[in-house]
Amino acid sequence: MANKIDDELKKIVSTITEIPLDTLKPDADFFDDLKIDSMKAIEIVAAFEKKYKIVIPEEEIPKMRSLSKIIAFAKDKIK
Amino acid sequence: MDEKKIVITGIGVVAPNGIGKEKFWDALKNSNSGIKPISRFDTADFKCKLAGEVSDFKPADYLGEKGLRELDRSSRFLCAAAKLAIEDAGLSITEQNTDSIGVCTGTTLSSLWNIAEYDREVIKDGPLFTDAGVFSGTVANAASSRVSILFNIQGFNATISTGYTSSIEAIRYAVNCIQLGRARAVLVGGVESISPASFTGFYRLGFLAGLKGEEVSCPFDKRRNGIILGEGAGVIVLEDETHAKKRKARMYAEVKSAASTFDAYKLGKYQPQGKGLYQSIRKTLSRSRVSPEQIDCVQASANSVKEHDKIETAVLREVFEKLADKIPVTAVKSVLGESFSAAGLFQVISSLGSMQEGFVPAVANYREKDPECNLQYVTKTLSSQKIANVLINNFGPGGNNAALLLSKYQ
Repeated sequence: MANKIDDELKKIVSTITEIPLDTLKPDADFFDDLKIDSMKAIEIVAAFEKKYKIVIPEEEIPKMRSLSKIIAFAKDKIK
Repeated sequence: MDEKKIVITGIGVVAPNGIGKEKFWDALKNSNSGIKPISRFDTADFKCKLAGEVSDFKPADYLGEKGLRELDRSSRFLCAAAKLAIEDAGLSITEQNTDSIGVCTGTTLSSLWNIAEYDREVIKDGPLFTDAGVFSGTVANAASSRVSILFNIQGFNATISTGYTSSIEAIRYAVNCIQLGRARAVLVGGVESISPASFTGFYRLGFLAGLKGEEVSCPFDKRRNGIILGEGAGVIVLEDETHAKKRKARMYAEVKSAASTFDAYKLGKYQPQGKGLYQSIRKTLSRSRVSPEQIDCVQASANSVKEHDKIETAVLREVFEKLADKIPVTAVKSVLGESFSAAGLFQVISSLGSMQEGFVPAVANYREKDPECNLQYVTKTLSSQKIANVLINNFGPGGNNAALLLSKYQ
């Protein structure tokens, strides 16, 4: 289950950021390293919420700055 | 205030029968139709099956792969046409001149598919699980804005939604902006893309060909019984002549004059005497200082709707009187379908082809004469013609009418 979520989320982020799967580093910061804009960040959050039917609380959204942080959040919620 | 001469210096087109001006003009010369069975959605529940659908369009060839996923179908059409037009004009957009270049687009239904998808998502999945990324594509000015973002054009950006006449209204808006000194050059576009929602709308209103007869786009022909929907985008670069000359641009034509009127009659019904269309043409001719004798060809609005083509015929007779027996009249919707707000730009680009390459495209599918439609319709493509002045008409049920006069640059 854990690996499946890793793969699914990596694919979502890769599709939205247009960064190929093999070069997407889990710890890369969306804004500082990947230079994505706020619309794309919203898209990533929305795609995550839609896929797992989990709402990320407002106060948590600013913390979702990398793939690994989203994966950690997901693993905590989906058990 | 001195009137500036407004010239056309660039052409970009993504049409159902050809992409790029050369392919589009060749297709028109040979009456190659872009009308074919719809492939974008299932038409099993419809009696009508055809549309002027853009196929063989690979957006990455024009726009690259990166960022493509953010662009909906209409934006892809318009951005690709804009790219072709900018290249054709040899216009370089820089930090120094970006504030003096604008974008103006005619479109009415191009975001309907996005709206329908977004609504469906909100209703089906609920607001918490709706993708906000789709929302930006639901607005009417989405495609036009994409052009400005992609090519860094910052002078102004406007979208004109007046249905059938949007393209010509967009040209008028751009001309006014240049005359007022708000811009030196403007990318003027027209775009529409077909969707199940728009197709259903025209179908249920009984407006499509095939419901009351043969499913064919045959303007002015006795068999005509409705439109076949079309889609695509056309973009031209308009500039003030001084600016174009300074950068040694090729000038295809001059926008001599344009006029529009509104003669709403009843919802979805044509004004039976075509009063507004008559006034639009009269005003356009008088503003242009081109005499009726000098008109070499009429690019008709005719779209194979019974009333539409009859009214346009009567109005042209009234305007041109005896000359109406001589002036060739063509109707490119016979091979493109009715592409609504994009139609005017297709007519303009077809007219530029006539001036450039000396041909007048045939009204395809013209077979049976209708006594109520008695003009000089071009039934076989005319070649080796000297085309200097073309009158372009646009109108529809709903009240909007527009006319435009283009003259070959000399």
